[in-house]
Amino acid sequence: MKTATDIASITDRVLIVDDDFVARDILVAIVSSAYCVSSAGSADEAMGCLSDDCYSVVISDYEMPGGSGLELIRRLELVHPNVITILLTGHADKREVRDADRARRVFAVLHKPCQPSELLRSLRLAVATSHMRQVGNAGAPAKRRAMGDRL
Amino acid sequence: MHKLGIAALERTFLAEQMLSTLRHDLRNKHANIHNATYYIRRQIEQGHAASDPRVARFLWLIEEELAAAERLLRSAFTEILTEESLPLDLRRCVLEAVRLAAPAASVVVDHQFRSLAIPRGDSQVVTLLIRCVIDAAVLALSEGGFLSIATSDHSDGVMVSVRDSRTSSVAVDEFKFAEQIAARCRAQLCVASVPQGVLIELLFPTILP
Repeated sequence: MKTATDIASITDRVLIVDDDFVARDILVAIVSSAYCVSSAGSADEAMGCLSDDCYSVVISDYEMPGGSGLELIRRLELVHPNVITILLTGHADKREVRDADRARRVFAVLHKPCQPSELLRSLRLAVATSHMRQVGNAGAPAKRRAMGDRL
Repeated sequence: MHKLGIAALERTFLAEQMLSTLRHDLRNKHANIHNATYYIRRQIEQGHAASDPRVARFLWLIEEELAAAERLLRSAFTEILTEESLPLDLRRCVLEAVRLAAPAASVVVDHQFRSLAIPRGDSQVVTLLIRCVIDAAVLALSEGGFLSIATSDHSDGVMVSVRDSRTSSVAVDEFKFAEQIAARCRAQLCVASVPQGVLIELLFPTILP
Protein backbone atom coordinates (compact mmCIF):
# COMPACT_ATOMS: atom_id res chain seq x y z
CA MET A 1 0.00 0.00 0.00
CA LYS A 2 1.27 3.45 -0.90
CA THR A 3 1.97 5.86 1.90
CA ALA A 4 1.81 9.61 1.69
CA THR A 5 5.61 9.78 1.60
CA ASP A 6 5.79 7.23 -1.18
CA ILE A 7 3.60 9.23 -3.48
CA ALA A 8 5.43 12.49 -2.75
CA SER A 9 7.30 11.98 -5.99
CA ILE A 10 4.12 12.45 -8.00
CA THR A 11 4.11 15.80 -9.73
CA ASP A 12 2.20 18.02 -7.38
CA ARG A 13 0.37 20.99 -8.74
CA VAL A 14 0.37 24.21 -6.79
CA LEU A 15 -1.67 27.28 -7.66
CA ILE A 16 -0.41 30.69 -6.56
CA VAL A 17 -3.02 33.45 -6.39
CA ASP A 18 -1.92 37.06 -5.97
CA ASP A 19 -3.04 40.24 -7.69
CA ASP A 20 0.48 41.67 -7.33
CA PHE A 21 2.32 40.55 -10.44
CA VAL A 22 5.75 40.99 -8.86
CA ALA A 23 4.86 38.94 -5.78
CA ARG A 24 3.30 36.23 -7.93
CA ASP A 25 6.26 36.08 -10.27
CA ILE A 26 8.78 35.68 -7.45
CA LEU A 27 6.67 33.08 -5.60
CA VAL A 28 6.30 31.06 -8.79
CA ALA A 29 10.09 31.12 -9.23
CA ILE A 30 10.67 29.90 -5.68
CA VAL A 31 8.04 27.19 -5.63
CA SER A 32 8.55 25.89 -9.18
CA SER A 33 11.85 24.26 -8.23
CA ALA A 34 9.94 21.58 -6.37
CA TYR A 35 6.41 21.65 -7.71
CA CYS A 36 4.44 22.14 -10.88
CA VAL A 37 3.17 25.70 -10.46
CA SER A 38 0.50 27.82 -12.09
CA SER A 39 -0.60 31.27 -11.08
CA ALA A 40 -3.70 33.43 -11.11
CA GLY A 41 -4.22 37.13 -10.51
CA SER A 42 -7.63 36.95 -8.85
CA ALA A 43 -10.04 34.66 -7.06
CA ASP A 44 -12.15 34.30 -10.22
CA GLU A 45 -9.14 33.42 -12.32
CA ALA A 46 -8.11 30.90 -9.68
CA MET A 47 -11.52 29.24 -9.78
CA GLY A 48 -11.14 29.00 -13.57
CA CYS A 49 -7.75 27.29 -13.18
CA LEU A 50 -9.20 24.88 -10.63
CA SER A 51 -12.04 23.90 -12.91
CA ASP A 52 -9.54 23.09 -15.68
CA ASP A 53 -6.89 21.24 -13.65
CA CYS A 54 -6.40 19.44 -10.37
CA TYR A 55 -4.29 21.16 -7.76
CA SER A 56 -3.04 19.83 -4.47
CA VAL A 57 -2.44 23.18 -2.85
CA VAL A 58 -3.56 26.77 -3.38
CA ILE A 59 -1.39 29.54 -1.95
CA SER A 60 -3.40 32.73 -1.93
CA ASP A 61 -2.81 36.32 -0.95
CA TYR A 62 -5.43 37.68 1.44
CA GLU A 63 -6.15 41.12 0.05
CA MET A 64 -7.13 41.09 -3.60
CA PRO A 65 -9.55 43.24 -5.54
CA GLY A 66 -12.70 41.41 -6.61
CA GLY A 67 -12.61 38.85 -3.79
CA SER A 68 -10.27 38.24 -0.89
CA GLY A 69 -8.19 35.13 -0.34
CA LEU A 70 -10.61 34.06 2.37
CA GLU A 71 -13.53 34.38 -0.01
CA LEU A 72 -11.63 32.19 -2.46
CA ILE A 73 -11.07 29.63 0.31
CA ARG A 74 -14.80 29.66 1.13
CA ARG A 75 -15.57 28.96 -2.52
CA LEU A 76 -12.96 26.19 -2.62
CA GLU A 77 -14.49 24.55 0.45
CA LEU A 78 -17.73 24.20 -1.48
CA VAL A 79 -16.43 23.18 -4.89
CA HIS A 80 -12.98 21.65 -4.26
CA PRO A 81 -12.99 20.58 -0.61
CA ASN A 82 -9.85 18.46 -1.00
CA VAL A 83 -7.64 21.30 -2.09
CA ILE A 84 -5.34 22.43 0.72
CA THR A 85 -5.05 26.17 1.19
CA ILE A 86 -2.31 28.44 2.50
CA LEU A 87 -3.08 32.10 3.10
CA LEU A 88 -0.46 34.84 2.85
CA THR A 89 -1.37 38.09 4.52
CA GLY A 90 0.09 41.45 5.38
CA HIS A 91 -2.89 42.02 7.67
CA ALA A 92 -1.71 40.13 10.73
CA ASP A 93 -4.36 41.73 12.89
CA LYS A 94 -7.46 41.04 10.77
CA ARG A 95 -10.04 39.29 12.86
CA GLU A 96 -11.47 37.16 10.06
CA VAL A 97 -7.98 35.88 9.26
CA ARG A 98 -7.36 34.97 12.90
CA ASP A 99 -10.77 33.29 13.09
CA ALA A 100 -10.15 31.27 9.91
CA ASP A 101 -6.76 30.19 11.25
CA ARG A 102 -8.22 29.21 14.63
CA ALA A 103 -11.11 27.34 13.02
CA ARG A 104 -8.60 25.38 10.89
CA ARG A 105 -10.34 26.45 7.73
CA VAL A 106 -6.92 27.27 6.29
CA PHE A 107 -4.02 24.84 6.45
CA ALA A 108 -1.62 27.67 7.30
CA VAL A 109 -1.72 31.42 7.62
CA LEU A 110 1.63 33.01 6.89
CA HIS A 111 2.23 36.61 7.79
CA LYS A 112 4.16 38.73 5.36
CA PRO A 113 7.05 39.07 5.16
CA CYS A 114 7.52 35.40 6.00
CA GLN A 115 10.75 33.55 5.33
CA PRO A 116 10.60 31.67 2.00
CA SER A 117 11.91 28.62 3.86
CA GLU A 118 8.85 28.84 6.13
CA LEU A 119 6.59 29.00 3.09
CA LEU A 120 8.30 25.99 1.53
CA ARG A 121 8.04 24.07 4.78
CA SER A 122 4.32 24.82 5.04
CA LEU A 123 3.94 23.85 1.41
CA ARG A 124 5.69 20.52 1.99
CA LEU A 125 3.34 19.81 4.89
CA ALA A 126 0.34 20.86 2.83
CA VAL A 127 1.33 18.61 -0.07
CA ALA A 128 1.87 15.72 2.34
CA THR A 129 -1.58 16.31 3.81
CA SER A 130 -3.00 16.31 0.31
CA HIS A 131 -1.35 12.95 -0.30
CA MET A 132 -2.87 11.61 2.90
CA ARG A 133 -6.26 12.67 1.67
CA GLN A 134 -5.56 11.00 -1.65
CA VAL A 135 -4.72 7.70 0.01
CA GLY A 136 -7.85 7.88 2.08
CA ASN A 137 -6.32 8.97 5.33
CA ALA A 138 -7.78 12.41 5.34
CA GLY A 139 -8.99 13.70 8.66
CA ALA A 140 -6.81 11.47 10.81
CA PRO A 141 -5.33 14.00 13.17
CA ALA A 142 -2.79 11.64 14.72
CA LYS A 143 -1.41 10.66 11.33
CA ARG A 144 -1.36 14.26 10.26
CA ARG A 145 0.63 15.14 13.34
CA ALA A 146 2.97 12.20 12.74
CA MET A 147 3.42 13.30 9.14
CA GLY A 148 4.20 16.79 10.33
CA ASP A 149 6.74 15.46 12.80
CA ARG A 150 8.42 13.32 10.15
CA LEU A 151 8.67 16.25 7.77
CA MET B 1 -18.76 64.98 22.61
CA HIS B 2 -17.58 68.45 21.70
CA LYS B 3 -16.62 69.47 18.16
CA LEU B 4 -12.92 69.72 19.03
CA GLY B 5 -12.87 66.22 20.50
CA ILE B 6 -14.53 64.79 17.42
CA ALA B 7 -12.08 66.57 15.12
CA ALA B 8 -9.12 65.27 17.09
CA LEU B 9 -10.54 61.75 17.08
CA GLU B 10 -11.24 61.91 13.36
CA ARG B 11 -7.67 62.97 12.71
CA THR B 12 -6.31 60.20 14.92
CA PHE B 13 -8.57 57.67 13.22
CA LEU B 14 -7.44 58.85 9.79
CA ALA B 15 -3.79 58.61 10.82
CA GLU B 16 -4.35 55.08 12.16
CA GLN B 17 -6.04 54.05 8.91
CA MET B 18 -3.17 55.45 6.89
CA LEU B 19 -0.59 53.74 9.07
CA SER B 20 -2.43 50.44 8.75
CA THR B 21 -2.40 50.73 4.95
CA LEU B 22 1.24 51.77 5.02
CA ARG B 23 2.16 48.79 7.21
CA HIS B 24 0.37 46.45 4.81
CA ASP B 25 1.95 47.93 1.68
CA LEU B 26 5.42 47.89 3.21
CA ARG B 27 5.01 44.28 4.33
CA ASN B 28 4.19 43.38 0.72
CA LYS B 29 7.28 45.17 -0.58
CA HIS B 30 9.37 43.61 2.18
CA ALA B 31 8.04 40.15 1.32
CA ASN B 32 8.91 40.59 -2.35
CA ILE B 33 12.45 41.70 -1.49
CA HIS B 34 12.85 38.78 0.92
CA ASN B 35 11.61 36.24 -1.61
CA ALA B 36 13.61 37.63 -4.52
CA THR B 37 16.78 37.64 -2.38
CA TYR B 38 16.12 34.04 -1.34
CA TYR B 39 15.71 32.98 -4.97
CA ILE B 40 18.87 34.75 -6.14
CA ARG B 41 20.92 33.31 -3.27
CA ARG B 42 19.67 29.81 -4.06
CA GLN B 43 20.53 30.18 -7.73
CA ILE B 44 24.03 31.42 -6.87
CA GLU B 45 24.58 28.51 -4.47
CA GLN B 46 23.49 26.05 -7.13
CA GLY B 47 25.63 27.71 -9.79
CA HIS B 48 22.64 28.68 -11.94
CA ALA B 49 22.81 32.44 -11.45
CA ALA B 50 24.70 33.26 -14.64
CA SER B 51 22.35 31.33 -16.89
CA ASP B 52 19.08 32.28 -15.21
CA PRO B 53 17.51 35.44 -16.67
CA ARG B 54 15.26 35.70 -13.61
CA VAL B 55 18.27 36.58 -11.45
CA ALA B 56 18.95 39.84 -13.28
CA ARG B 57 15.23 40.61 -13.40
CA PHE B 58 14.78 39.98 -9.67
CA LEU B 59 17.81 42.15 -8.86
CA TRP B 60 16.12 44.92 -10.79
CA LEU B 61 12.82 44.17 -8.99
CA ILE B 62 14.54 44.48 -5.61
CA GLU B 63 15.74 47.96 -6.57
CA GLU B 64 12.23 48.83 -7.76
CA GLU B 65 10.56 47.56 -4.61
CA LEU B 66 13.01 49.49 -2.43
CA ALA B 67 12.31 52.67 -4.38
CA ALA B 68 8.55 52.04 -4.16
CA ALA B 69 8.81 51.49 -0.38
CA GLU B 70 10.71 54.75 -0.04
CA ARG B 71 8.03 56.57 -2.03
CA LEU B 72 5.31 55.04 0.14
CA LEU B 73 7.04 56.18 3.32
CA ARG B 74 7.63 59.66 2.01
CA SER B 75 4.05 60.21 0.82
CA ALA B 76 2.43 58.66 3.89
CA PHE B 77 4.41 60.69 6.39
CA THR B 78 3.90 63.86 4.43
CA GLU B 79 0.13 63.30 4.66
CA ILE B 80 0.13 62.30 8.32
CA LEU B 81 2.42 65.04 9.54
CA THR B 82 1.15 67.87 7.41
CA GLU B 83 -1.11 69.96 9.52
CA GLU B 84 -2.17 73.52 9.07
CA SER B 85 0.70 75.82 9.84
CA LEU B 86 -0.93 79.22 9.94
CA PRO B 87 -0.34 82.21 12.18
CA LEU B 88 -2.03 81.37 15.46
CA ASP B 89 -4.35 83.50 17.55
CA LEU B 90 -2.98 82.10 20.81
CA ARG B 91 -5.37 84.16 22.94
CA ARG B 92 -8.29 82.54 21.18
CA CYS B 93 -6.77 79.08 21.59
CA VAL B 94 -6.34 79.66 25.33
CA LEU B 95 -9.89 80.98 25.82
CA GLU B 96 -11.34 78.08 23.84
CA ALA B 97 -9.26 75.59 25.86
CA VAL B 98 -10.47 77.10 29.15
CA ARG B 99 -14.06 77.01 27.94
CA LEU B 100 -13.72 73.34 27.00
CA ALA B 101 -11.98 72.40 30.24
CA ALA B 102 -14.90 74.02 32.10
CA PRO B 103 -13.32 74.58 35.51
CA ALA B 104 -15.68 74.38 38.48
CA ALA B 105 -16.98 77.57 40.04
CA SER B 106 -14.69 76.93 43.02
CA VAL B 107 -11.67 77.46 40.74
CA VAL B 108 -10.71 81.10 40.24
CA VAL B 109 -9.34 81.57 36.72
CA ASP B 110 -7.08 84.45 35.77
CA HIS B 111 -5.84 85.27 32.22
CA GLN B 112 -2.99 87.55 31.27
CA PHE B 113 -2.29 87.90 27.57
CA ARG B 114 0.98 89.75 27.25
CA SER B 115 2.47 88.22 24.10
CA LEU B 116 2.70 90.12 20.82
CA ALA B 117 4.57 87.57 18.74
CA ILE B 118 2.62 85.20 16.53
CA PRO B 119 3.49 81.51 16.58
CA ARG B 120 2.52 79.26 13.69
CA GLY B 121 0.67 76.00 13.96
CA ASP B 122 -2.58 74.17 13.71
CA SER B 123 -5.08 75.97 15.93
CA GLN B 124 -7.05 72.79 16.70
CA VAL B 125 -3.96 70.87 17.77
CA VAL B 126 -2.63 73.79 19.81
CA THR B 127 -6.02 74.27 21.48
CA LEU B 128 -6.09 70.56 22.28
CA LEU B 129 -2.61 70.79 23.80
CA ILE B 130 -3.48 73.77 26.00
CA ARG B 131 -6.72 72.10 26.99
CA CYS B 132 -4.85 68.95 28.08
CA VAL B 133 -2.68 71.05 30.36
CA ILE B 134 -5.63 73.00 31.77
CA ASP B 135 -7.65 69.80 32.19
CA ALA B 136 -4.86 68.38 34.36
CA ALA B 137 -4.85 71.52 36.49
CA VAL B 138 -8.65 71.54 36.81
CA LEU B 139 -8.61 67.90 37.86
CA ALA B 140 -5.97 68.62 40.50
CA LEU B 141 -8.10 71.50 41.78
CA SER B 142 -11.22 69.44 42.44
CA GLU B 143 -11.46 71.02 45.89
CA GLY B 144 -11.18 74.47 44.34
CA GLY B 145 -8.22 76.81 44.02
CA PHE B 146 -6.52 79.26 41.77
CA LEU B 147 -5.66 78.83 38.07
CA SER B 148 -3.55 81.39 36.27
CA ILE B 149 -2.94 81.35 32.51
CA ALA B 150 -0.57 83.78 30.85
CA THR B 151 1.07 84.27 27.49
CA SER B 152 4.43 86.01 27.14
CA ASP B 153 7.07 86.60 24.51
CA HIS B 154 10.49 84.97 24.72
CA SER B 155 13.49 85.11 22.44
CA ASP B 156 12.69 81.73 20.92
CA GLY B 157 8.92 81.73 20.99
CA VAL B 158 5.70 82.48 22.78
CA MET B 159 5.17 80.94 26.19
CA VAL B 160 1.83 79.82 27.56
CA SER B 161 2.17 79.38 31.32
CA VAL B 162 -0.46 77.56 33.32
CA ARG B 163 -0.07 77.77 37.05
CA ASP B 164 -2.35 76.02 39.51
CA SER B 165 -2.53 76.04 43.28
CA ARG B 166 -2.75 72.30 43.82
CA THR B 167 -1.49 70.85 47.04
CA SER B 168 -0.86 67.41 45.57
CA SER B 169 2.21 66.54 43.53
CA VAL B 170 2.21 65.86 39.78
CA ALA B 171 1.09 62.31 39.01
CA VAL B 172 3.29 60.00 36.97
CA ASP B 173 2.33 60.20 33.28
CA GLU B 174 -0.06 63.10 34.00
CA PHE B 175 1.29 64.99 31.01
CA LYS B 176 2.19 62.04 28.79
CA PHE B 177 -0.55 62.73 26.27
CA ALA B 178 0.19 66.46 26.33
CA GLU B 179 3.87 65.70 25.63
CA GLN B 180 2.88 63.71 22.56
CA ILE B 181 0.73 66.52 21.24
CA ALA B 182 3.45 69.05 22.05
CA ALA B 183 5.91 67.04 19.97
CA ARG B 184 3.46 67.11 17.07
CA CYS B 185 3.20 70.88 17.09
CA ARG B 186 6.92 71.34 17.85
CA ALA B 187 6.18 72.97 21.19
CA GLN B 188 8.26 72.44 24.31
CA LEU B 189 6.48 71.37 27.47
CA CYS B 190 8.00 71.92 30.87
CA VAL B 191 6.40 70.97 34.21
CA ALA B 192 7.77 72.30 37.50
CA SER B 193 6.70 72.27 41.11
CA VAL B 194 6.62 75.80 42.46
CA PRO B 195 5.73 77.19 45.89
CA GLN B 196 2.00 76.56 46.39
CA GLY B 197 1.35 74.68 43.20
CA VAL B 198 2.54 73.50 39.83
CA LEU B 199 3.70 75.51 36.82
CA ILE B 200 3.35 74.15 33.31
CA GLU B 201 5.04 76.03 30.50
CA LEU B 202 4.40 75.56 26.80
CA LEU B 203 6.80 77.25 24.42
CA PHE B 204 5.63 77.68 20.83
CA PRO B 205 8.14 78.67 18.14
CA THR B 206 7.37 82.01 16.52
CA ILE B 207 7.87 84.34 13.64
CA LEU B 208 7.92 87.88 14.86
CA PRO B 209 5.35 90.26 13.37
